[in-house]
Amino acid sequence: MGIGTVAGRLDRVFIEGKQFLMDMLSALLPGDWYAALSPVVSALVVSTAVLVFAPVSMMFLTWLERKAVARFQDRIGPNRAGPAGLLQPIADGIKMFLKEDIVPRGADGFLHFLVPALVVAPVFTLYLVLPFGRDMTAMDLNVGLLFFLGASAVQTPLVIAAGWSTRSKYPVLGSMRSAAQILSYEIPLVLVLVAVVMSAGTMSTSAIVEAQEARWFIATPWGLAGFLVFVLASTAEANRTPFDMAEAESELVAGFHTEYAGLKFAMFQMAEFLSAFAAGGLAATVFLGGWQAPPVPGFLAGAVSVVPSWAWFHLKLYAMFFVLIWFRGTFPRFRIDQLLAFAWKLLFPMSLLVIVAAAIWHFGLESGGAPGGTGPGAARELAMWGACLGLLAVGYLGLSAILEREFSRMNRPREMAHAP
Amino acid sequence: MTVTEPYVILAVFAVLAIGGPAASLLVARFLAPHHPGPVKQEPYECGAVEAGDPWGQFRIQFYLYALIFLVFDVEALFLYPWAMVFREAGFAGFVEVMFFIGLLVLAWAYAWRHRALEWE
Amino acid sequence: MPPEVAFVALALTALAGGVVAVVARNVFRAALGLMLSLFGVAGLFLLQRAEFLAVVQVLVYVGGVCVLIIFAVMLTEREGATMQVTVNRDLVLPGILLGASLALGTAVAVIRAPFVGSPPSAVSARELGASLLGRYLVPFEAVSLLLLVAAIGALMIAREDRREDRREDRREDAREARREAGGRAGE
Repeated sequence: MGIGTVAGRLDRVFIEGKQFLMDMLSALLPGDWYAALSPVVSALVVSTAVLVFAPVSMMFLTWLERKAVARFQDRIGPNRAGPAGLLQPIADGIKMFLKEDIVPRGADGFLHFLVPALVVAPVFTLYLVLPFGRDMTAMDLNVGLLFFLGASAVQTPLVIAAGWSTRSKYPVLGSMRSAAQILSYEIPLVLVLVAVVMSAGTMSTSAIVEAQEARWFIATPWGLAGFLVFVLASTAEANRTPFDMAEAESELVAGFHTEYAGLKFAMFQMAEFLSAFAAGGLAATVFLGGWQAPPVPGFLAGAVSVVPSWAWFHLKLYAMFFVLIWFRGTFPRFRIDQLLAFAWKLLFPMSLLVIVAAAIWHFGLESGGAPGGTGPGAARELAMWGACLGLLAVGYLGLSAILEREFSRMNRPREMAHAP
Repeated sequence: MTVTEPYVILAVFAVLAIGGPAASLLVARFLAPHHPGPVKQEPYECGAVEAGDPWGQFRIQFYLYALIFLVFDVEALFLYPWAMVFREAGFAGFVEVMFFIGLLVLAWAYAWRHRALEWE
Repeated sequence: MPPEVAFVALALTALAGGVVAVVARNVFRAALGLMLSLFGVAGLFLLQRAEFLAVVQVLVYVGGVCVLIIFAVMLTEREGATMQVTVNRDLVLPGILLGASLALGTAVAVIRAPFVGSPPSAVSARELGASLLGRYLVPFEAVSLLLLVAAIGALMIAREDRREDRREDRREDAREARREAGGRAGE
């Protein structure tokens, strides 16, 4: 698709919009002022775009979730505020500002105010490294993928601080369980992405998308398994069902954000939603080909190329989030010990096997043929699929068998231990 | 391009991302009603009277999880430089890394056997 | 923005965070100060164009070590203690003197050292990988061994050996199997 065509212009509409703003600025300012200020202004424009996109998306997402979960449960969901309840998030937002902020007696007031504000910031930065479209990554770091992981790791101590600063039993408990959960699921997440870096040869998110031009990573055996591990691990990282033990109403009231009212609570909700949304975005980026159009047979290629790259990305982004909503409407939740066993005894070894499978895949397909040659034949590819899936299946079945035995032994009737 | 230019956006964004929510919280502080009362400010325990100071001691299992996490986190991050040069390193590099991972699988197996991974 | 300004800003952040971490009475405020300090250090890494190291710093230190420290402090608090830090009055003056002399010594060493004047060149993760598997292979594998030893050592100290529990479990398994076999035979 050429730059001059309609599809090309549509694809670059945001890039050209920003360029237009920068050009206007350069016309207004004298030369060396512009040179000094332009990085800052450019940063401001992009930052504002991201900081507007995130909360607005979240508002739409809360509506989507409530409607979808309602339909799963055979009811209608919000339908009073605005047509089909579309203004419900706005009503909720206004309500959050106006609710009284109750701070429990003895709580640390400074922390109680600061932590909700701090919790949201790292989640916003996640969107800086997501490639929203062709050439549309806000901050294209060479280590973009690790940056994403680092930003989501920052929430761990903040979660503990959030619960603890309220000086109230349930939040303290909930925050420590949440933290244990985040830590436990972070390792499989980090490991699975190693396989992605192996195949793409880079940690830059935009380059990873471009590396999937020939084949999306999910269309490989290690990519398929890795995608599954990734989705499960990020659902747990975001404390979403079925891993929301730490904040389920029947369990620990609302977990670490129990004693936060009004806007502070809204901040925690926003952090949770946005981190789940961003994780979906990362899944779309590293496994589903990011902003690339799906590979289609020739007769559809024309129709597909009209759709701009950022539209494809959004489509995949929302599809991933819908999967999370689907999980919420469908699955019962894990018990805390099941949840942690799942992370350490199943997902962690499986993610190591994904790395090995990725190595097998690449060695199998890239050796033997001449470098830069016509590529491996179909038979070889089938053999590699077999080898990788075989390895993963053996690992999975072995681990499941061991876990079955452990859990059946545990569930034998015996004196109940007391969990704090 | 100076050394700092690629990261200007990070600095600007950090200021906005922290300042924005903090400013909103300040606004909410003025907009929202403020009538503290003794019952309202009790820590929430589903209606029961507060029993015991929650800032007391807790279980060691949390510490163990954080410890094991740290060991494997460092291991996982050591794998990233290898992953970048995975193809150039070839099969020899893969074997070297498998040895690296193998030792840590030993640590994991040890933790499992000695029930350090369990909740109870 | 010239790098000097950025350096001063980041260094001050790291220092301020460190001061808060040491001075704060409340353990969690100290932890937040520590996080701030570690972010400052990560920023300094970025200034040196060590992107990989900066991100690893955040991931491991803020996301791991901070949590570990917080858990460790929470673990060692006795029931009813309010997690406040107490100050030993007698040690304040010696502390200040020691700190000042250390700072002076470091400053003199830094000013006198013959630093090379050129700006740093970026070290990519790719180069790191090549050297870890090439020149520094033995240290690389030694790190794994070190982590293994650290994990086993820490687990040994922190956890009572549950081998008796496992033997008990196996005995129970055998008992269960015998019971079932006996039950079936009796039908």
